[in-house]
Amino acid sequence: MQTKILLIDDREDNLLSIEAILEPKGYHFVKAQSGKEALRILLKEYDFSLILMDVKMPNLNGFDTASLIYQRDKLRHIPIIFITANNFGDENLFKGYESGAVDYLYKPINPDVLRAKVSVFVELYEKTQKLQQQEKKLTATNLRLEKEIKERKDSEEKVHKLNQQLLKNIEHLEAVNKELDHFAFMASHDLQEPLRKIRLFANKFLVTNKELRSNQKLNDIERIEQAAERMQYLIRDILTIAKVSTHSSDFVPTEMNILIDDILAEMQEEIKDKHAKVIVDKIPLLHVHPGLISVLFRNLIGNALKFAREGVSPVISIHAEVSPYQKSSEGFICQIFVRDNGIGFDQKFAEKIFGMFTRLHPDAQIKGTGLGLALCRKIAEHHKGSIAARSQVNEGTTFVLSLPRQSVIKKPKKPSLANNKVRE
Amino acid sequence: MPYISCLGKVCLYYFLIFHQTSKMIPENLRIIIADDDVDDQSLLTDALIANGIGREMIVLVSNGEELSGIVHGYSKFPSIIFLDLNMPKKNGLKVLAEIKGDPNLKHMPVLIFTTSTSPVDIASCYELGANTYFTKPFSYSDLISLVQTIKTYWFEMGVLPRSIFSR
Repeated sequence: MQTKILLIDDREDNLLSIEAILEPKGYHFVKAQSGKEALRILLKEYDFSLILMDVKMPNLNGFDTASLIYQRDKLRHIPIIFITANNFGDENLFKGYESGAVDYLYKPINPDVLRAKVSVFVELYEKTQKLQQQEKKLTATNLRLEKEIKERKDSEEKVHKLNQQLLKNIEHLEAVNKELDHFAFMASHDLQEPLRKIRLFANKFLVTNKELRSNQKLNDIERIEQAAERMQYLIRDILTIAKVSTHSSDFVPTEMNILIDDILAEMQEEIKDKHAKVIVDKIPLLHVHPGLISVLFRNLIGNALKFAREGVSPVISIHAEVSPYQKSSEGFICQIFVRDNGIGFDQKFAEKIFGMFTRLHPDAQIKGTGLGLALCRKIAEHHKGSIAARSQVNEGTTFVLSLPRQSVIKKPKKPSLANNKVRE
Repeated sequence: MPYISCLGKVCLYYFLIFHQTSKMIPENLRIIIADDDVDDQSLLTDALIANGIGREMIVLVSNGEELSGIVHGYSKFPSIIFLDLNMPKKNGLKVLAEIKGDPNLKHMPVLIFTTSTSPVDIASCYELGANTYFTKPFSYSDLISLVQTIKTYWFEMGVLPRSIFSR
């Protein structure tokens, strides 16, 4: 921006000579021929870097004009150089008003002195301006920062509050969940009694009225008995699910291969009937609740046998994948895969099948309560792990049980289990 | 049945029974059923009758307190108790402890007959001296065969004791 200088002198020749002296500096001049005119100009324009003013002017002299100028806050920062006659000692007259930015030039004007003084003042003025601007900027930045800090604090508090609320919600949800489990437990427990009676009396009726049995048609009482039996399995499974969360979370190091072998031994008749082949790879020692994990594997293996493809002997393979926990030696992550070659299902049902009472095959031929996989999921979650399924129609299904971080267990030296055990 | 011969007076008693019923169930046998559930009472009663046990041999009580009240009177009979665990007033475990802690009663066989499958219940019953723990079957035919087994084991093949103190 061009530096603006206000020249005030009642004599135009003086104005012209000053202008001529300062011209090479490239300043922009605004000229006034009286104090009044100068004040008028200053009403509209404040951005002068310097005022050069003759002291001796008719009506309003230089000092009076200056005191009027300096009454206005907006103008107080503009330095004034008074041009005065050498011999009057005028320099003391304006003392009361000066704020440091006042100087005197004596007539006859020495062009070098004028140029020097003007340039010093202009420079001073510009520096002050710059400083002020800087200060303004700093203040603004400061304000902004303060605002930002406050905002951040506010949002932090908000986050904290939200977190608190979330924690409360979680606590509440957990309590509700427990209550639900308790409810399911009590309800199903109490439902069992009357149901047992229904079964008993229906069966008693059949036993004591044997002649009805000769009827080829499945008689009504038998249907009652069967329905009651089915209902009882449902209730038994609901009870089992409701009871999962009541089991201890103190997990014990478990030889998974022994556990699975025990299950296979229990199920050997089913396995034999289906001409199934079960291949179990080496699975590491894991911290689990052995009772619950047995239920989980029994369900998965049972499903694999149940959903075999017609005419294809079931092949079930169980293997584990182990990966280090966050690249450290603090433990490992273990995933166990249970794969079959059965009828499979559309992958879009992969989540749905873990829901309660979900049966993708409403076929009466395939027995089940629709709770087996819900139970598996509950057991996986009780272990703070998860279970998922990958499947394709007619391509078989793979269930993946993921357990959370396992600490490395120092194994007592024992003769190693037979790997790749095949049971047929 | 060679073992009968060594039982002295009982030998004669059993001999008579043998001739009377052609089975070996003592005629003064008392089967005490302690169960608050009338359905279970009647089902077990019917299953016993279906197995040839006389109705007069069956004594029904519906809670632990009632059982405590009458059990002394039966200690002189060859008797056996079917005891439910979950009963009002005095539960099965309490009566069981009472009976097995009483020198005049502890000879009486107590068969636990309950819906509970809790390992804790099973363990505590045996610890207190229960003779066998049964869970109530879910079908009447199972109940019949269970009663049949009990009858064969306890009444026909086994010999029930009688109190030698009272009377």
